[in-house]
Amino acid sequence: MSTFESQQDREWCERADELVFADAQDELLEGADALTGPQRAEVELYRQLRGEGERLEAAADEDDPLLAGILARRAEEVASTPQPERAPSRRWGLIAGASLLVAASLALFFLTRPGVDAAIRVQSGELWVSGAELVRPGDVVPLSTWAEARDAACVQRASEQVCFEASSDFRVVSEQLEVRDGALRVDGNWSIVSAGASVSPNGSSSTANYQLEIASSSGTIDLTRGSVVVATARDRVTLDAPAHYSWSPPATVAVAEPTPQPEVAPEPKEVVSPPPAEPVEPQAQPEPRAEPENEPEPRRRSPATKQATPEPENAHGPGDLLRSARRHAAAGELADAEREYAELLERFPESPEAHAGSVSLGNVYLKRGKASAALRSFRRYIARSGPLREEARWGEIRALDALGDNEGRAAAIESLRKEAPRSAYLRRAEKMLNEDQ
Amino acid sequence: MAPRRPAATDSSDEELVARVIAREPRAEAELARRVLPHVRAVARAMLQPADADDAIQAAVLIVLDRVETWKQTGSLEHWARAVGARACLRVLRDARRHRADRLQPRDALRVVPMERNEGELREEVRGFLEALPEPQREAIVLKHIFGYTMREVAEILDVPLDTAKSRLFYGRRAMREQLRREDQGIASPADAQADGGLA
Repeated sequence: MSTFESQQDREWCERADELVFADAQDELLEGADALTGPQRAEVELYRQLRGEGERLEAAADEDDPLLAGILARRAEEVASTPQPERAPSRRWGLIAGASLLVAASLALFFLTRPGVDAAIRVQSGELWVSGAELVRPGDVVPLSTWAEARDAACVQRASEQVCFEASSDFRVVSEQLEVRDGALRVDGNWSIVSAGASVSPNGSSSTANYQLEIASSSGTIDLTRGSVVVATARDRVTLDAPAHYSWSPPATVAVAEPTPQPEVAPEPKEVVSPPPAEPVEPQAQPEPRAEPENEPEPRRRSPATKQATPEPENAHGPGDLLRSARRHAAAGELADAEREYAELLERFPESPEAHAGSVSLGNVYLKRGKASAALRSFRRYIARSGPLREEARWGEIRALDALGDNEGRAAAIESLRKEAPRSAYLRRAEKMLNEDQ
Repeated sequence: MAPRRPAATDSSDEELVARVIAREPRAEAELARRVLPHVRAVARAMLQPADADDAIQAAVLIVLDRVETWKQTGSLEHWARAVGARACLRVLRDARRHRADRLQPRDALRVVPMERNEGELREEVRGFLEALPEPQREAIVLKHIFGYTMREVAEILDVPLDTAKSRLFYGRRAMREQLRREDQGIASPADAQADGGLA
């Protein structure tokens, strides 16, 4: 049944479609006054939809507890990325050391073989790089940049190949393949696969020597075939299939084969079917990777003990607590949020999450009418400084305002003016002053 | 498309990105602070609040991670919004997959209805969007709520331009027919579905 009222109505609809497809829908809105009936109602609906976009964006100026969480996660992500110019912290020393050693071995191996192209190129399929740029077969995959397989895609480095399922998300950092989502299959010696800390690392990894599933949401790795070494900041274990391993996300977990074992490679269960490839001359295997001398001896787990969780004391890590507190705060469950932020600060006082959390805790205190506690929390952050200093200073101003300490408030505003003269919070603080006068 | 809402900038896009790349300590926070509202707007239009926070966080981290690749042909906010939309769609599709996994095969053939509390859109607008299949709804949200060009809609949805046009066309037609049914006093598909009918 047609619901169009007339030929004229149909023609108007066609014209409206043309305008929309030509990205000229504003013309449609401008002509609304001359319309009646369903045509007018339709244009009004588009006006409402447009208004929704503007309304949602106009909600921009609210204080955002998400920012603290984002910056804390960013701090952890940056800390977990090998960066030669930075001195590695003790916490990341084990992973960084092992990764660098492996990277150096692989780099040495490839660079000393004449005629071998060490660049990583797209072999088949297409990848979104940085969410905006498509790279195609033959193109080089930029290092340290997240890439997403548009469809099933393979990348190649010399004779090694990694194939990804559609929508898999990965990057190559210092020769190390870092995966945060998706499924992949590795052919060759490119065996280092780590699930990054940043965004929901989930996926499966399959090589000739092992097959595993990583689920960061639950913090588990299930090894169904082969042997791997799993390293986190706190633990380093060798697993033999079948094995189940738990860790506390969002800490980075690095997975590596203990040694290349091509002679015992069983037929792999393919996660992604790589496209037919030209026959490749068998390549010499690199020297087995040596473990750093100061590394603890990898612990072998008997099958009977594989189900145990290796770090029960970290079942609720700082990241978990921060996320949970933030969820409570967003849901308006302020008492729970306060309790968890406080627990975060008490249990993990040196973590980036706790540092960022002190600003969020201050905001929760303020919402609960605990201005003195809020002031202490904001000032604790300011004392150590950090990227949320503007937010903390703005919180201090509001807390002092709530306490009626006008002198202190004026001093805090002055501090904000000196520290961030173009801060949006400064405009709001000055507005606060003007309203008082 | 030019952003409808000019950003309250402390420094120009180019300056800010240069500072982020130079690892100036507070530049990342400023960038996050600047793009967060735009990403949040997209997330709140598309996702339930619980999912929106995760998508927002993911999207802003992606922006921080990939800012070196921002091409200065458009505003930083516009680019960030597109990155945000892609992150939201990923979360949305994951949620849809999980929902579809829970459905019986017979049910999987049905249009999965939008949950009542999905997104933060106003009731009168949400009513029209709820009746649409998700691919059409995504195209409508990107085009009519956020004003993306057709090419941008196609890129964000990661589909060919003609597919994006097709989704938008059918989505608009469904909304249009719903309007005319209401005008003629005929029950809408959403009402019929609420009465137990099949969409």
